[in-house]
Amino acid sequence: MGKAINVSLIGNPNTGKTSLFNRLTGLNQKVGNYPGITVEKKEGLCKLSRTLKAHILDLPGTYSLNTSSLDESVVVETLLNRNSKDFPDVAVVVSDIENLKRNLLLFTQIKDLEIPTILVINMADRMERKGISLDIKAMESQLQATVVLVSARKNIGIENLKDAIANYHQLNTTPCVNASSIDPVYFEKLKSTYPKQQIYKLWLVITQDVNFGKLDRNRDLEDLKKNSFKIKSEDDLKRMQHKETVVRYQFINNLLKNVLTVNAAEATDLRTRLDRILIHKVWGYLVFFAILLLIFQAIYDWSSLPMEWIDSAFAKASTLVQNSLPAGPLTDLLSQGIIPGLGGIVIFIPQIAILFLFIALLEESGYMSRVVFLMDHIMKKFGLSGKSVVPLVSGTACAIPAVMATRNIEDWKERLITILVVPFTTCSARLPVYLIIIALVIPDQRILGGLFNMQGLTLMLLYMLGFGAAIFSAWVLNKILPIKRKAFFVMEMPAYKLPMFKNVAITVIEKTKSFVLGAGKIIMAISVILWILASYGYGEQFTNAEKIVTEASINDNLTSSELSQKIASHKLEHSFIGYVGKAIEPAVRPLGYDWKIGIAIVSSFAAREVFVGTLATIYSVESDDGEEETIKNRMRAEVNPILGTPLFNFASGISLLLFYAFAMQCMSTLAIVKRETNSWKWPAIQFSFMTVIAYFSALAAYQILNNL
Amino acid sequence: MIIAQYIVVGIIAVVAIGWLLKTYVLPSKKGGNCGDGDCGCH
Repeated sequence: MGKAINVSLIGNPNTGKTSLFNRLTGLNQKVGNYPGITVEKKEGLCKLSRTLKAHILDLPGTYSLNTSSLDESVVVETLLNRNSKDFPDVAVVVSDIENLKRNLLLFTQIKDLEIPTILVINMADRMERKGISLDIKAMESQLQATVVLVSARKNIGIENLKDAIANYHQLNTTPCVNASSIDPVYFEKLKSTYPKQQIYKLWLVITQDVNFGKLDRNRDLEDLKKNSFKIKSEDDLKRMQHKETVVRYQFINNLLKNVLTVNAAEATDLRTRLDRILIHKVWGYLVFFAILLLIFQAIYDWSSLPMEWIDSAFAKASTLVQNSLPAGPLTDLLSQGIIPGLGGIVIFIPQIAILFLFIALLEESGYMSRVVFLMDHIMKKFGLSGKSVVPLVSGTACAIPAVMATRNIEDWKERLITILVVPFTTCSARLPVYLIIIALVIPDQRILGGLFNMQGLTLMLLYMLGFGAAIFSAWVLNKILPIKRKAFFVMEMPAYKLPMFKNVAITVIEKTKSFVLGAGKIIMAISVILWILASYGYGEQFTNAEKIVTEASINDNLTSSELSQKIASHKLEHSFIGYVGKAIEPAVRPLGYDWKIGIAIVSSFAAREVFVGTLATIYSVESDDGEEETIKNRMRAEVNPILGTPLFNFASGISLLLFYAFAMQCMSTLAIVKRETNSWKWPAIQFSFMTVIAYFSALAAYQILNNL
Repeated sequence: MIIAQYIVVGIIAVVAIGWLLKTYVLPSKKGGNCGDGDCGCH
């Protein structure tokens, strides 16, 4: 038989590349490893004609030529190294008809390397069922490439592909995207320095260090790298790479607008039928709203019993420690400081686990991507992207990963706005504050024929308020930020699937564990400091508290329990923390709070969840009567010293809820915003506007509700 | 016994303050991203 040409099969994972490889090579296959690395190398032979055969190399799946793993670097190495025995005479890029947009990114990159390239669109047998039609002629003309429709599974189009490979000399090698448009001056310099080199290849060589530091190059490429245009920093190169991806997707979007038609009405598969409802412009929102309602009802209804057990167990543990250890400061610290402080967090494990359970189910099932799609055109109106939904929803767990999740938003303005508004979303650290305040001030009643729990509805309203505040702030920021916009939206909808129990369980356990362990450390530390500040003081009023209170109450006929409670209150008021609290009281009194709540607010500037732990510690120190009491009961018993009414009433409760809904009380989030924006300016602006909104909304709520 | 308890409480207090300062006030030497569950948030 005659000569053999090299053919590389390249494509995104799960495009049916290996099925096509099997179709082309049959049993003529050899599996080994690439030299020196443990990446599988699959090769095979295919007879193209009587005189021509193809040596086919099935390269590892990759999403683009911007490598991030060893597997992917093998693809880039093969395509860049013309001296390699595997360098392809023809590159066959395999794509899948349902994910053409994403698959074409890789195709345009390979085409720009000026290697003869064929675009194979696999799974073509599904086109009719999916209501997809494709204008192949127009596509070939715009891509300046040969396009072949195949179905590797059903053996359709394979002969056409073999013919196209056999005629590789006729393949057009003109680049389809002008990558140098991302920075013409830079690329011009590059071109004049290396006039004999192919420009996109140079660009890939320079940028691979950004993505993958250990990419092994041959001598020729090393030489290029030595002079690899140090005029650009790694950050600049990353930005240019980012811009390149945007340019490519703009090209792909324009192309697909002209050649691809998806008629959902003609489609008959389950996914399409589900999508017809779930991303419908009316039903889609209704279903989303109903799912949210279900989640918030479940958070309350399913968790009440385990929460009662945990609360009571911690109260018992405090009493046990107090009664069984020898009296002294360490025993007091354990029973009044550390145990109640930790109890204030552990109690929320059931509710946090339920929240994460639902989020994991929505993500695993593929529904979350529909929500992103559904929300995109609404989000755009407020200066956000459809992709902002993921950070906003992730923000219900923690703002830190949410801020980091904004990295896949292409447009800087949309990304910055998302970063600035994400902390409005109700994170899990707010949940303990909400839950305890709601339990104190909202009646545990069912409404609408017993269908909805009032407390659950209030929680849902708070979540919606958080989203609402985020959206409204985004709209304002979009109007006032003087940053130019260059956005477009590319996303792929994954197929629906039944959530895997293992994945869901791991998510729930990991997220809950990280919440409890992370919060546990800071709460433990702050509880210790608060207990010391609340248990010690200076001056006559503190050291002689017992004598002063006993003498002052001599005519009040107090029981010994009432007297010891009064002494504990007096000592607390004149402890170190009491002085701090009294100093800030004028600022928080108009909001309906006393100095103890003021202390809890100040200490929770480190992290919101510290609020409940702080109050638990302060009230434990105060109620030094050895009785087994839950945190909720202690808070319920607090009395406003001026009005003589319960401190946690409807007005002060709503005021507190609003304060926590809007306030930026998380040092870690500020630190991460600084890192992501590379400036203290944005976290400072974020902290200021959120605190101002929080203070004035809490003030307005208390003043209005208290005077009704 | 009481003195021993005071000493232990003192040590716990120093460790707590030290940990808070190290976590929130002193600059972290760690680079890279904090997306692996070690970000210092709850």
